[in-house]
Amino acid sequence: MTADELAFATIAELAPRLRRRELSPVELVDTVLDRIARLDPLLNAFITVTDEEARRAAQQAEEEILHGTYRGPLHGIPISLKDLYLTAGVRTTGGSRILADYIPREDATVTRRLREAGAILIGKTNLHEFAYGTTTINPHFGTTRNPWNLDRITAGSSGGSAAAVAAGLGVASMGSETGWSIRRPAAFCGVVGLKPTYGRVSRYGMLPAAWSLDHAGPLTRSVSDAALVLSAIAGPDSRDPATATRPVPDFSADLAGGIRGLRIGLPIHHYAGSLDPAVELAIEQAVKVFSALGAVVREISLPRARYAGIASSVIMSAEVTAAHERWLRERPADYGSDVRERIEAGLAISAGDYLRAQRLRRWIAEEMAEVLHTVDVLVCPTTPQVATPIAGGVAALHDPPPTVAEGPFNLLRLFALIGTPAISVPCGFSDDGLPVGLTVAGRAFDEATVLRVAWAYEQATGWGKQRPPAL
Amino acid sequence: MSDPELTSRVRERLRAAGLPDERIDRVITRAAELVACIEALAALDPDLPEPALIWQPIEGAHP
Repeated sequence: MTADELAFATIAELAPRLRRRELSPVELVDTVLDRIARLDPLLNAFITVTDEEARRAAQQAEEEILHGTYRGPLHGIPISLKDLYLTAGVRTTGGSRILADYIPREDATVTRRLREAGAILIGKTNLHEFAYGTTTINPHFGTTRNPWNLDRITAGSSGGSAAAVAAGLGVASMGSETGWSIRRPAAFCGVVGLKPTYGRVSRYGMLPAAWSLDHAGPLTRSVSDAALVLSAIAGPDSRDPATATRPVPDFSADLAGGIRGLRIGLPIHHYAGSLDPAVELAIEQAVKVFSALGAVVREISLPRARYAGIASSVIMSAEVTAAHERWLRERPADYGSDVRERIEAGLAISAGDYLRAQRLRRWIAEEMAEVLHTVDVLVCPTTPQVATPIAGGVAALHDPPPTVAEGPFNLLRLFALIGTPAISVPCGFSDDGLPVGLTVAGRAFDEATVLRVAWAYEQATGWGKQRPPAL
Repeated sequence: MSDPELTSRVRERLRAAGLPDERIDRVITRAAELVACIEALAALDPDLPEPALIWQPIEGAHP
């Protein structure tokens, strides 16, 4: 493999070569670190690159594999973490000046599980400050640029993770999602982004955005890689009481099981006529692919999803403002202006408003559970537009304020709100070469079906194999 | 902001929460979006589940 081929290979392609000792973890990590040194000055995907630690860990992985101790498919694989996962001995900034010098003494559960699986931490990725925003234009650590067009945003808040994976700066990255922060940057950057079920992956040791909405999940270059990373990080954790005790399946086992006869619902009333033409066309073509693969595709109605945006906004604002109460009082000037304003605006919410939004959330989730008795998964556009320009350091991303209406932004926020699993996979490109993303969403704790549908689509189309032409 | 009554209600909420006037001026647009959400929620109230059924993690998500 050439250096470029190594940099863009998937875990599923690299792991057998590492296991058979045809490829050295040291060679792989060196290739990725060299690429970061060359390209990250353009992209600004990383806040911290842990090159010395990565080289040491690669050496250790090489020795273990040589001596017959192979830990599994992540052994020797270079992975980055959004800079809100605690990393013992490595600074964790949350993308904020407030934590610019914070060096944790312990790992987040996700960090620890990845290390135990043999993954090699190559660095901490840029994010919208405290994961509370959607552009990854960060006043403290700079703007992350989209590998497909450096004048476009990555979206956020996991923008650094999406850019790193898209540019071949590491094989996978861990992001987080409170509203859309894994799937939207995945769509804008042409990679896979998986938000698992609420309770599937521990949030212990993640800096919180909103406690009842936060999810941990991977960004990868393929659906099978998302399954491999999820298998490594999922499962109960006594230090996150929201984690489920139910068994964790092997998420890779049934990927190739096919989707013939599977029932796919399209919440078409929420997006028809309100998408960029490129997105509209890509979704229409994706639906034809699912039909050709033997799935039974039909329209479904989700009237209560009209309220997803307002429920999500009120809950998120109340929880984020509560989480930042002390720093807002003691260090207000250390926040970026947009995040400070957003946190202060949350002071307008009363306890009664918050509880009413939580009741609304339950009401919306009940409808979704009923719909998912009639179909196996939902398919919809991840986001209604492709990546928008960065103009003078400000994103031309004018999301409408949350309203009660059928619309794609309510769908975008629905799955983190009700906690069900959803994955975004590449599904095409605009005329000017910007990626489009498709979301597949399913029943709580049924990531296996979501992954199987996404894998079938990926195999049939090959969109995920495209690389940013300039890199 | 085009709705002076909404503006007034938003200011009242933010003042009650202790935010100084110069900061209220900075955040009034964002806060008004939130208050519009809150008022839409209030209109829905009779249809929502009883408080005993407020959000809990998905079944099985608690040990």
